[in-house]
Amino acid sequence: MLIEMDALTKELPALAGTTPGALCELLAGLGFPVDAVETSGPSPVLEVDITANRGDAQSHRSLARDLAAKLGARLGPLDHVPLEEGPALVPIRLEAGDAGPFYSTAVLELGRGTTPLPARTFLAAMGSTAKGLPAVDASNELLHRYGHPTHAFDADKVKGGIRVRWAWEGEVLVTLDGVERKLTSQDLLIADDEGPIGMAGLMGGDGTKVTAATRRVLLESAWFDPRTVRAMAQRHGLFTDASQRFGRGADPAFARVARDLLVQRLQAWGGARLVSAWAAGSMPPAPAPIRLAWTLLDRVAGYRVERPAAIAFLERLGCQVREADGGLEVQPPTWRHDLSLPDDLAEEVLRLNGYDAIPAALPPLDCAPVPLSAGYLKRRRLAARLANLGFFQTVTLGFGDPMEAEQGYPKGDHPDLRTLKNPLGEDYSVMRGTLLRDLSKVARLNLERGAKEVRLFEIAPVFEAHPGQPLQETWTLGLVWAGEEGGEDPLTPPRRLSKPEGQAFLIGVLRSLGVPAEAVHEFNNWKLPGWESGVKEPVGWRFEIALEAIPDEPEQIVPRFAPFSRFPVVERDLSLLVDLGQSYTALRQAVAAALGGTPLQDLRCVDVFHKGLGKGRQAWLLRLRFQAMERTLTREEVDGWMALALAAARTLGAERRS
Amino acid sequence: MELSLLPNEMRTAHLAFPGLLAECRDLDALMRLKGIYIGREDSHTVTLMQLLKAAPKEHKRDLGQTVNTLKNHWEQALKDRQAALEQERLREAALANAWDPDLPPPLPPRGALHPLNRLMDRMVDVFRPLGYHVEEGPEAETESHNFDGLNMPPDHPARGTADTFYFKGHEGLLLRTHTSPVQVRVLRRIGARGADGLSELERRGGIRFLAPGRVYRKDEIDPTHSPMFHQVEGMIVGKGIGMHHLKGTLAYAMKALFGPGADVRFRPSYFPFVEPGAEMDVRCPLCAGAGCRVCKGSGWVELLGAGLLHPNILTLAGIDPEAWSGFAFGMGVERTAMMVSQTPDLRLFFENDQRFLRTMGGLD
Repeated sequence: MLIEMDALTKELPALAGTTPGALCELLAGLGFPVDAVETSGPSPVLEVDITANRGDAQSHRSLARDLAAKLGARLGPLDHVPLEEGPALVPIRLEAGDAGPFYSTAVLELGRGTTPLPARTFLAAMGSTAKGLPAVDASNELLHRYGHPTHAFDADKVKGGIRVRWAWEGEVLVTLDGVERKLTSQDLLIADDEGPIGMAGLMGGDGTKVTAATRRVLLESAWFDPRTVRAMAQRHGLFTDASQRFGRGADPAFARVARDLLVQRLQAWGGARLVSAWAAGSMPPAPAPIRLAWTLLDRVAGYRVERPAAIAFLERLGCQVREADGGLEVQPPTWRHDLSLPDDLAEEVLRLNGYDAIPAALPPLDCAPVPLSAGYLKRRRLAARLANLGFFQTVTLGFGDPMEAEQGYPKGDHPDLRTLKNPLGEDYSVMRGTLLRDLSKVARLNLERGAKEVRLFEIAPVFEAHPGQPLQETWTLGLVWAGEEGGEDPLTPPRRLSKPEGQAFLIGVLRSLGVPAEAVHEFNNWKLPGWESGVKEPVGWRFEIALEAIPDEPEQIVPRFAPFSRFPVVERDLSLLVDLGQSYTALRQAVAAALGGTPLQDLRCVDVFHKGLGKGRQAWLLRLRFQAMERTLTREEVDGWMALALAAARTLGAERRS
Repeated sequence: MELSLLPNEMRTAHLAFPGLLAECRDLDALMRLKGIYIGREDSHTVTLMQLLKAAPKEHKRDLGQTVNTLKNHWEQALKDRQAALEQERLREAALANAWDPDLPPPLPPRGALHPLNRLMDRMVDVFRPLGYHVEEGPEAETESHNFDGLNMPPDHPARGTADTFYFKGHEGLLLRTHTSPVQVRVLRRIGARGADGLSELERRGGIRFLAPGRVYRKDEIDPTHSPMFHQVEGMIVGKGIGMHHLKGTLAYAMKALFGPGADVRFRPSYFPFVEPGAEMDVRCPLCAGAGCRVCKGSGWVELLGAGLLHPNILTLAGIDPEAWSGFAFGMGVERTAMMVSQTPDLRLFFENDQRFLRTMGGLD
């Protein structure tokens, strides 16, 4: 909201001489931070941030009221002379109950005058241009100064009486902005005998608007239910100065005053002549008084608030305060719809006393501590481990395009059930079922920008949807490796990993995270998809895995001791010719089974090669390590075990390679 | 030394020796020269000895002296040269085997945690000593957790499809717009009474936790907006919790995060789920409070929103606001990271250029 310093000082003379900077501090301390200060005009204009609960604070006078309460200063005079009401020239019928319980009006014959310069300057500072029509400009000026929206109809265009009623389904009104509005039965209307002439609390109708040709005006200063106005503004996407005020709660008691002030202005500016002023209905009932216990106030504040000061602050805000048993009984003023609980009143006292007065303390550690969850710890450890292995953690948005297949990761779910109703666009419409698509895009971006090697991982939830089941979110690790290794120092020559090497590299990463070999068999889509033409196709691999498939850290910080031998280890190699396609696990298990009962410590394949072996064959070099717990092994017994190993391999069709 | 007693070829050999010796650049060449001059077979020394043997008696003494002098001279010169060449060879070998420490060594690979995750982790670490643990919730949330349980009226504008993403095919399911639904989940959990008639809250005597995570709002992507961003939310429920506790906790945390010199201010604000509401600002890091583009001339940058838990929030979760009170706060992770790092564009955090991640991220 825009606040002109001169206009604010008129409402609160004590501000005279205050600098914009000091005023900003003062306002921020009251909960109204200033977003910007414009100093190019005759008086500085502040852009003040008004929180949603303070509908009442949207004017110069109401902000001055808060400042006056803070400073203990007096507000400037309102110059309000209550009008003597006369006969109703046309009937006002209030047919919408609590949604529009009060309506005051007046009819005036306009004179020849126009909007005076100070009002024009003020309106310009408020970001609007004076129309030169006093009835329109005065209404606008009043709104910014006092916060109560009013409206002027061309009285000669209003047919018959005024009705405040709900619209009929399908009724149509062209509003002042020239837009044809289709109305529903939830829209509150101002209507005459022939139909709608305004949307209550939002905007008047085009057909009854005041023009240069208007001779007589019919004024409106009413009160409308905030909920109704908010819903209408949202339904029609019509957010106006009026809807901002009625929608957040206008002051019902000020409706009549605003009408009087508007009449006074038209008489003073344009030489208008009042024909009659009248009103219908009554104010909404005042809410019940609130009990504020001193104990509550002190608990909220964290210090003992001086009783007389608390009472004074509340009274300065317009509350009626009565001391009651152990606290206060407080009747909030008609403009403060936000005050309904004792905590609200406590906040008011603290706010006016200043949050600087609140002491700082740490709450005592009086509740049982809770350990960090295993899932959270696992993610942190995993991320730290991968970062230390040379991978960069990414954060991607997580929206996907339904047209892009989630290549190779068919979850068999229903992507349409993880689709947004109101996405930012088609390419942001599906919540992702895999991390790999985003990771692959990031890999590509980095390669296109000249990165030689890309190592990325992301840990985030991915979605899975099945009909009739709740949407599932699974914490997932995705990892991508692409590009060329080495070439950055004299000792590491550059090289591109072959397909088996790249795959093996990622399996190594998985295994180092503790993923069992069996789980790794489920991966079948290691290769990064090829890029579109124009980009040199990089060599790269990827995988993703649900975090629950990665084992937790053992619970015991220091695990159980496992004894190890102090006798020498005997290492023997066994070179075997096997068929291509021979399962390593099967062979390994067969050999290990044959050596059951021997002190075999380790058995692994340390070399694989194919050259010069003939079609369909390959060579595996197995390395076996024997070590006994209690003695040194002899050559003869190890020879015997190696013979057993070879025999076991032979049963699977392997032969010794000489 | 009487050279005239020597035959011509020996005189020539003697005169050529210094030149030949100097030409020996390595030990192999030197060994060849050694063979020629002082070898046991067929060398100049052997020739000299034969000459001496065959010389007439009257010359033997003079010739003998000359032969000895020559022989000793050659031997000594060859020995010195050999020592020098060996020395040189050792020096070269040493150089060839040494690594110039200024050469680029092969570095162990070094990745990085994402700066946003790192900042969230750091928040957890800062609050851990105060007894906070981590609570989490799903990103796809119900209106009940995301709005209703937070005292947000049914017509609150944030519920509209212009601000909040809703799922197709799941009635009322949305992408959470803040981490606050985790508060609602925890409050309902700890407020529910067990078979013993006690609630988790009563058994524990209070609770305090952080809820870090991803949140979504329907904002177009631009230098300061993104439809997905992160928040860290904190909450405490206990006995007699007041604004002084909130202020003390936030002041401690902001100094722990931004350094002991961080200048913060605590001022009133409004959120539907707290009462009283507050915001904490930090003195603008760019202009130190003088006023600039980042702080829009105010000298302060908003850091987080906070307040005491609204009594309605507790009541909605079945917790008696007369017996229990608490506070909550929420911080925008991107906003804070951008401010602290003076990163000019929010999109850099989601683009994941490795050069950005390398400079902005860390390992712990």
